[in-house]
Amino acid sequence: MDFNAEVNKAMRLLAQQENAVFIGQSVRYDGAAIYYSLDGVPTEKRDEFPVAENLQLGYCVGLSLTGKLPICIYPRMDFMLLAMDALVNHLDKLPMFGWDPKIIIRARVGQKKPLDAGPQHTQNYTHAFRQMLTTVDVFELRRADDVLPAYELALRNKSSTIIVENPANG
Amino acid sequence: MNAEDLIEFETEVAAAFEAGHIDGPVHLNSATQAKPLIEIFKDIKREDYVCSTWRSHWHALLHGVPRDQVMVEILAGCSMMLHFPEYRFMSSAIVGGMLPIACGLAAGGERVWCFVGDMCATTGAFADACRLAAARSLNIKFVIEDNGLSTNTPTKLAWGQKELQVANTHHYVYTRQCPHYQPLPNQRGF
Repeated sequence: MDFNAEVNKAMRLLAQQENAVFIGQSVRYDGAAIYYSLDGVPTEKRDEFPVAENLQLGYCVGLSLTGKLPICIYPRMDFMLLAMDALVNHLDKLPMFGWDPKIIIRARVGQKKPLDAGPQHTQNYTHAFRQMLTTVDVFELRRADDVLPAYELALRNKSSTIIVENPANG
Repeated sequence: MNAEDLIEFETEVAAAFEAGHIDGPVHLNSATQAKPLIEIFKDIKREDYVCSTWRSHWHALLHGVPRDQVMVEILAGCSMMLHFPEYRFMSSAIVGGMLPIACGLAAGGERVWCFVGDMCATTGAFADACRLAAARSLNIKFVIEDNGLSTNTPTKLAWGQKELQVANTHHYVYTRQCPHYQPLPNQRGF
């Protein structure tokens, strides 16, 4: 079972939801791994967003309050540090104030083989995120057979979920 | 609500705070805000979303949240974070925190009003939100509430600017009437 193939299956599953919209960079434009992971996802469900990580996540929060199901995609977990206000101060806290945002955040831990992208593209902050978040679930995926069940769970989850794709075999 | 009602409400909040009945920070509106806010809210419909700041008492009242309901939340210590989902009213105690959410709400088809302070209007977050709103023709109005201060930092002085001009926004100037947050004598030293 191939990890990336399972991710693609999961994306196709999410795309079957009428209200799903995939938001991030390289979702509509060829040339990066994220693009290929969305193979089969209709173009009209893809929203190519400018590189503005906090704006992207907060935008997804607002969109979710209107009934959409945003899948907020970050190609490297390192980049999510730029979205911490929207994530920790808002997405995580809004349920405490009576709102019910639900988004699925997808982040990839950069692998070190065959090329090591260095310390700003390969970090795994799963543990730190779990420490900071109270209403948002965080799943780390290491094995291919965990991928689809995790996304199915995120879909059923009433609250928001971060799914960290970190394949053990690189 | 008219200006007298708004001022009376804030006077009541101030009295409760001074009496030690509010176990949290309170940010009072200034009397000079009443007239411009009443004018702005004439254009805001009940079904519109209002995204506010930590100084939001009058925004909530003018958006139709019942007086008693707002007061209960303030007395519970939630002045900085008033939320009334059933009235489509939300706020944030974080500078610029509402901007991305407001854009997302507008992208979802809602009509949105987003209030920010003058320092917020100088941030990159504000520039990003305005750029996105323009690029995507989002139905969102930004309102800059300008008292020249961010907490106690003079905005223009800190940035070395003479003017604060942002295109395509509502912008009104007011004078802060109360300290940002004046701790009671027994709360000093925290």
